[in-house]
Amino acid sequence: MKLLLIGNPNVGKSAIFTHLTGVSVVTSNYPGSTVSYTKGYLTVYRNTEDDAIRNCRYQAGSHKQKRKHRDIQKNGDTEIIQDDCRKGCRNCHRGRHGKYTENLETAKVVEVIDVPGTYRLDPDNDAERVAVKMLEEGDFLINVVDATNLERNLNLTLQLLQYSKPMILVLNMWDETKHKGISVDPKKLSELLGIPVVCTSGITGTGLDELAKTFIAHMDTKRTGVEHKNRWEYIGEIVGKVQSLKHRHHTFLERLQDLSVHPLLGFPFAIASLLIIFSVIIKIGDYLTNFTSLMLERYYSQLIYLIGDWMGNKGFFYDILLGNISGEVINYETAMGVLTTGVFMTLGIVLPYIIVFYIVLGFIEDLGYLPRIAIIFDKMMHNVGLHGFSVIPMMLAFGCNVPGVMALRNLESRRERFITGVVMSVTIPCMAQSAIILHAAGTRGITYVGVIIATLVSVWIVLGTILKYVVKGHTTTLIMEIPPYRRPGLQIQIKTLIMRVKGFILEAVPYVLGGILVINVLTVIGAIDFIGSLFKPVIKGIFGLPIETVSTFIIGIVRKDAAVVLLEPLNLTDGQMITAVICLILYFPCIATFVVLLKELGIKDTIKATAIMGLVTLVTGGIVNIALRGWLSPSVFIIIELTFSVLFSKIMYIINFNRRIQKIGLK
Amino acid sequence: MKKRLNDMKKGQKGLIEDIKVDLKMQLKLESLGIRKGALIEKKAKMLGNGPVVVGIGNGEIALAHEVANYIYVEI
Repeated sequence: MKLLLIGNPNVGKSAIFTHLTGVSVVTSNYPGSTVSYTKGYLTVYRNTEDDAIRNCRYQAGSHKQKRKHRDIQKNGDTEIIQDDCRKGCRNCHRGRHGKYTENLETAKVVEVIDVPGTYRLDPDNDAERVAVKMLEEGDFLINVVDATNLERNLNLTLQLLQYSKPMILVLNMWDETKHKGISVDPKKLSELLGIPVVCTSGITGTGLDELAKTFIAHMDTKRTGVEHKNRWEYIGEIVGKVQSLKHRHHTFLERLQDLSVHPLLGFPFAIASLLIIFSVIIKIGDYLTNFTSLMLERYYSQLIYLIGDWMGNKGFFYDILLGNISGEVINYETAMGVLTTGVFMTLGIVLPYIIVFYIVLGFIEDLGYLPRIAIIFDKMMHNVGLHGFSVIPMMLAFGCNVPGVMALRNLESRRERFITGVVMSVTIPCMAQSAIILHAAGTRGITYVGVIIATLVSVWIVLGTILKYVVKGHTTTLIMEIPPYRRPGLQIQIKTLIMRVKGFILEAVPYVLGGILVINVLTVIGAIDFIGSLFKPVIKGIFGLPIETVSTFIIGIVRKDAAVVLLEPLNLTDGQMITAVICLILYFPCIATFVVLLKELGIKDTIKATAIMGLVTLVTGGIVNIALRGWLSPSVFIIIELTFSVLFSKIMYIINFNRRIQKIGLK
Repeated sequence: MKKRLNDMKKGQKGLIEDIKVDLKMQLKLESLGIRKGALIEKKAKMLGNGPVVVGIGNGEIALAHEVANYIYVEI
């Protein structure tokens, strides 16, 4: 049996899904955090003696949970048991929970699917297409609606009612209706629609047990579809009967809401908040990395020396795993061993920044600020042929390009996806990269950090402008729901943070360690020198870099952050260092991003994207190389490149003005 | 008085009289509750032909300038 959780974007389906199945998914306060569907299982087991229903929150884990699980067994005759529970609890496997396992055979396993949010059933983006396809396969529908916004949500509900499938209506965000002075009569609504109605609050978890009960009670019922001709009229009628509004004063959050999209103050407010956010992340991250490096030096070094001694301080594996650890203290940045530099890079430098970034991102996500940033920057994004919604993938990309690329799915046209994907993977450094760039370029002076940032901004503008006029297709216009500000729930915040950090450790860390391993092996067998000789003319001729840097470009395919570290021992001049860092950021996204890009854009577009990256690197690297040879002061260069890119964008706009008009798909 | 959504003042409310965009866009707007006869409030407008923020039902929606230009509201 397939149970579908379906509803508008940003109504809290994911939170309800997590409660029902115990499978964690990232929730946030902007439309479309679930781009692909997520599956989980709910095991329903009925006993005729009693109708008491318990929802077992047990997941594989602590003793406390196991005890709770046993208690539930004793008390409850009818249970909903999460499938995870069966897998996770060893006692169950061994059959010690006699009654439980016996009856499990007769239990019914329900597949729960968290369908991506959709406003309607005639789709125009991928997320919505997925929703419609899933709908046809489902056996039971749980329609989650935002109780504070009944009118718009019921539009989908009435469309769903056309299908002959049993259905429950969930009025989520029930607690919020009180703050907003909205009162809804669920009984009446249930009568009018002819389906059961349950009131829940996904954040606090109230009403979710009742939802499970209602589901069990109705899971075997049949229903025939009803069609309403004048849908909106009917909705108006329903809303008029079940909802009443009370007038009340604006809350603090609502005032903040008005301020953040204020025509004059909105923009400075956004810039200020972003600056504060990033400087806080960098400050705290910096503090944490100092701490972690200290810890590594004090304790981890002992372990490294031990391993070194055990290996006899020489040999093939010694070079690969530990690298160059001679000297009084281990220089973790230049040792280049998998266990030295590899571990230092990932856990010592990058992880602290990632944690801080995700704490802050989680907060502004759940608060609901991201869609507002999209509105503020909409106008700016038009210059590069996009609209405001593309800001969200780009913001995510600052943490890690992979989730950024995955968020491309929310964009409606292929053109938007392509431009956003390319511009993002070329110019936006992820947190790991930023951390290392600041670390490496910072020692050369703040102006050089400025050069890197200004160059990336210029490339962003120029590349975006060119793509705007070159890439065929259309860019859809911005039409976006803006969620109200919500106070982020601490528990959900922590859960999401843990999931994301876990994701980083499991997905990114092995790539870095593996990458360093591969490079070390290649160096030992001499392959690096061979590849280097192939790229010699480009590296030396165009970028003006010493030939040794070729190995950094190779490792950069795997992890950029690791590559930048490799530049340190090469004794580069300031100009060379900055050129190398810029080229490293531009020439190729890391392999993980590349793989996701391939999945999102398809082979053809990814090949095009890769070609663009190569070209951009050649041009930019060449220009920066020439500019930073000493005849031009870095600060003058910053001004020149920024002015040029803005002028370029404006001139292109004027030249192409007529073409632009035709693109708008209006009557 | 009939006015384009773009020409409305901040805080003005009215009933939508006409939406002169193609059918695809009309359906999209409709799914968000922006349809003929709905009560709409203009809440904010970004500078330089930026998006317009409107209140409809109990929610807020951002609309591109180009779209807001073709929504006619009876104030």
